[in-house]
Amino acid sequence: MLRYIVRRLLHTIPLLIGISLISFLVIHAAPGGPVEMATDLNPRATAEYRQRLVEYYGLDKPLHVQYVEWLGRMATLDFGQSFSRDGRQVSEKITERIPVTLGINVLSLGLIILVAVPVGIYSAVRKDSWFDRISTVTVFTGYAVPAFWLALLLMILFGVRLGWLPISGLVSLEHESLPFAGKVWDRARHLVLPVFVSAFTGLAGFSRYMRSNMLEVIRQDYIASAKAKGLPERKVVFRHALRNALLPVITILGLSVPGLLGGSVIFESIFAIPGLGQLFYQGVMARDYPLVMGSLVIGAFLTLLGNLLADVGYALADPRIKTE
Amino acid sequence: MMAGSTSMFRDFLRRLGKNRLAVAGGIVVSFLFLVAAVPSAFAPHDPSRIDVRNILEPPSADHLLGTDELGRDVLSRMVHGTRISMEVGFVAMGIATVLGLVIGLIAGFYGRWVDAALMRFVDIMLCFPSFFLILAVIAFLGPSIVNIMAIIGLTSWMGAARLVRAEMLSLKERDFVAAARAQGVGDLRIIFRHILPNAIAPILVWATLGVAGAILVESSLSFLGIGVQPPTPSWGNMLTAGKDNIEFAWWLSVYPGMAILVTVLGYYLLGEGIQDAADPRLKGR
Repeated sequence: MLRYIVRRLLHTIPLLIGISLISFLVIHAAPGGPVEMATDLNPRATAEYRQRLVEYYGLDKPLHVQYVEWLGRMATLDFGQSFSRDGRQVSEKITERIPVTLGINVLSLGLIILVAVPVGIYSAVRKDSWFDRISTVTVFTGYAVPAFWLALLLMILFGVRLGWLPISGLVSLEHESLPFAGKVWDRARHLVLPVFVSAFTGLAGFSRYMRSNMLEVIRQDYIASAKAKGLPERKVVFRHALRNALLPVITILGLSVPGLLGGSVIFESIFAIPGLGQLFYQGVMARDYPLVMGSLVIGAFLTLLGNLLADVGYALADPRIKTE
Repeated sequence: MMAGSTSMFRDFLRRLGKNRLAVAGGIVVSFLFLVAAVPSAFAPHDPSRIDVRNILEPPSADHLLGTDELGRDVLSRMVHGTRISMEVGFVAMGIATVLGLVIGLIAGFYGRWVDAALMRFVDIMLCFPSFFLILAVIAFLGPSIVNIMAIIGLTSWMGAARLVRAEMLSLKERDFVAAARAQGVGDLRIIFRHILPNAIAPILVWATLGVAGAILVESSLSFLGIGVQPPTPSWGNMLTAGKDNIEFAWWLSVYPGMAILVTVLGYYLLGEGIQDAADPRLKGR
């Protein structure tokens, strides 16, 4: 097992290099390079910023030297100083935002699994039933509905019309003065809409995926023989089929990281949630290049980590995978 | 092969016609094409006419879907926004499909280290959260319709490349390719004449679903204010006005989003229908 993990880690090295190369190219792609862009497009980009950029990227040096030096900084998570007024380290700004984004995405993944697994199983076992048809249509709608529009509609209904739920931020203004239970309740109320919106779009893909896994598994011979020896359907489904149908879900969990991060940009900026997505969006709007580059690299790194964990998790869960 | 291909195509159309959801999707998409081609035939008003006396009017007989914060007719703006969405969807997917085709063909046909290198490149591209990458590039290049089309296209070709490569790998070992090669047919002719026609169905499905995806991305970008810029109407930037006026004008939020939903759903149903009709063995999966 250990050898498998080590080998898998070695595989990520070329990917890391590729990620860094593309990120490096992104910032050098625009005509004039990073300094020209900064001064043209960023009204706040003063001579001081220009100097900072030249220093950070070592723009007076040859390109390959620039790349190697920049790579060294990436390895130590040094993304330079933000262009925003506080001028703080980008890595600091990003790290303090990650828990919020991670927390909401974990909650929504939990919700997705809780709903999608039973729905997927039931529509597979009762293929072409009314339940299956209705869930299929719902799934298609889930694919097609723009997350930000769903968020708007829910805000209008539950926030503006009914006044049941708050529509922005993570806590109310009077949060600090609340007792402990009140604080928990306050936070939960703020999380309902963002978590629901972020889960809804993922729900569609997940339940569809679960359904097709299950259909695949119940077609297998060992299921037929379990049925043939007279086991009740419930037992066949839950004891024999489910475990194998659940395995690929691990992979999908790992692969869902980039989508979730992209989704965070949307729901965090709509609901004014101080997470990584909102930070990134603000960085883009303010043309805060060090911040944008830092978030891009961190985003790619998290995706890579997701894939890695998924592979290792799969190998741990499925003894058929040869790890030697 | 040639003799059979017309009847195969007829079979395909017959199966597609039987799938009611796919037909519905096809009708929606055709209607959108019509609207995008001659928007002025469908728009009751001039989409950019500002009317300060009728700001944020709820839906009425004169303004079927109400007016926006500048008194412009929402329905007319939605009609004119159709063309932008369709253009972005098609151009972006055109770029992605061509790129994916070329990269997939080269990787699958030449194999060995070429294949290994190109597929690693695909893996690397897939490591970037594409929405992050798109936002970052727009931050550097600035938002414009051309940039958006190009960036969406350049960040979404990987699926097509994998598809085409897989088709190539399985097809190039087949007897009819070996026969062509034995007759001295050149590489390019084998690829375009013998292999590519067999790979068209899955690519068509991929591209149809991709257009829907690109329209969703464009509308998200426009909603966030980094896509299609006002005053050019797009469904996404109309929804920004919806959010700004969320307390008093629900119609600004409801209708443009519905247009996105129906459009994307139309493409999805059509794409899934093409898939089922092209390969009936996979139906229901």
